[in-house]
Amino acid sequence: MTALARTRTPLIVAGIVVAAVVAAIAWVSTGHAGPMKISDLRVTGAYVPQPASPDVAAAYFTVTNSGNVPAVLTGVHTDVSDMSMMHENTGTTMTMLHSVTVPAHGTVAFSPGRYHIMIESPARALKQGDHVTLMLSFAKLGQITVTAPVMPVGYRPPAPNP
Amino acid sequence: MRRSAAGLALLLLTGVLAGCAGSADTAAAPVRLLGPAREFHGTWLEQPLPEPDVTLTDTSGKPFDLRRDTAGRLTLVYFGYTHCPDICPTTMADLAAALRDLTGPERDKISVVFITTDPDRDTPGVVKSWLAAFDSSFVGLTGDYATIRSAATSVGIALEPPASKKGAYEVTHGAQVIAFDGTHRGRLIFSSGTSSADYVADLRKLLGRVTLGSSTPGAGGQGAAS
Repeated sequence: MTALARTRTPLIVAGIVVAAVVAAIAWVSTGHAGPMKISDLRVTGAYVPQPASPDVAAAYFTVTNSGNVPAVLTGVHTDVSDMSMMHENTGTTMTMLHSVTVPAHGTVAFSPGRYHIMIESPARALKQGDHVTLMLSFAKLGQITVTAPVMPVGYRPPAPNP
Repeated sequence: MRRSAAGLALLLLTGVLAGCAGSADTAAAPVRLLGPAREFHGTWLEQPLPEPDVTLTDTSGKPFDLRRDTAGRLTLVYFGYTHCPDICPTTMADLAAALRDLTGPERDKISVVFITTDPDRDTPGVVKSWLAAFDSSFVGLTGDYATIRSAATSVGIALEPPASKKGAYEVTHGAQVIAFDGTHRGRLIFSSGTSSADYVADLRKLLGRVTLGSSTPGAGGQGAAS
């Protein structure tokens, strides 16, 4: 009995592995994921300027899409607030965005004066040296989590290109 | 980067269009009108904008007469609100950085006045602590919303009353900083994306160009900014 059980276990394990591989191959080859891959996306330069208000902060970052298909950012959540939303500045007010499309082989920069993530009522006072976790959700692709350092008030990242 | 280049191009184009409109109005030498446009990063106002004649409440709770209490100084006025996540703190931070780059004597001739567009939430205390994050010498004003709105309107800044829209609290801010000379004439408009380096360059030129006062600027006379 015990001998039989010992020989059976590796067989079961091998069976599961084979099934998983077959399923994975099938999933990919049916084009379920299409040409889109979460690994085509890079989120860089994330930061949160130390907020002047205790009630609101902003987060900035750049999303680069090296894939052949546009990626749709559907939301950004943080570990310091239940309320965060994507905004675009339009003239003298802000517009809440439900999605932001990163074009194929393109870049979208969330940067002061244009797009930003508004973080409402942060759970703690964000000071320089602290970190905020940003979870970016992309339609059909999944999530990318990055750590955004809290930078000095009014911080501007160095320009990558003149 | 491409986006900011496009933004710059748009700004330049706007400037060119403004220049064209100006030349059409005066029907005179367009070269002279293009001069100032190149001289400043901001937009030079051939027709000065009168400074709002308004008394509001400063961050210590005292009345602040905008004209009287900034007389003789180059005064930079911005309408915004402290719950603004992006434009307002960015604008204040850029201005603060610019002023840090000026010399002491230059700095002493300039006042920065922040006027809230959200007086219900922006009490004098809230404005005071918010401004302290940038530069505690900045003047912060609150008051009756209708008074603030008409002051903003008088300088071409349209404000919508703060309102909850689909659960989000919407407040408008000015898209520009207006520089008034010492005799209450608005001479230059900075768009809110102006960099601190561009502020520095323009403020230096403005100090050399505009009238600050009949006597020594900032000294004595009608009470300097608190």
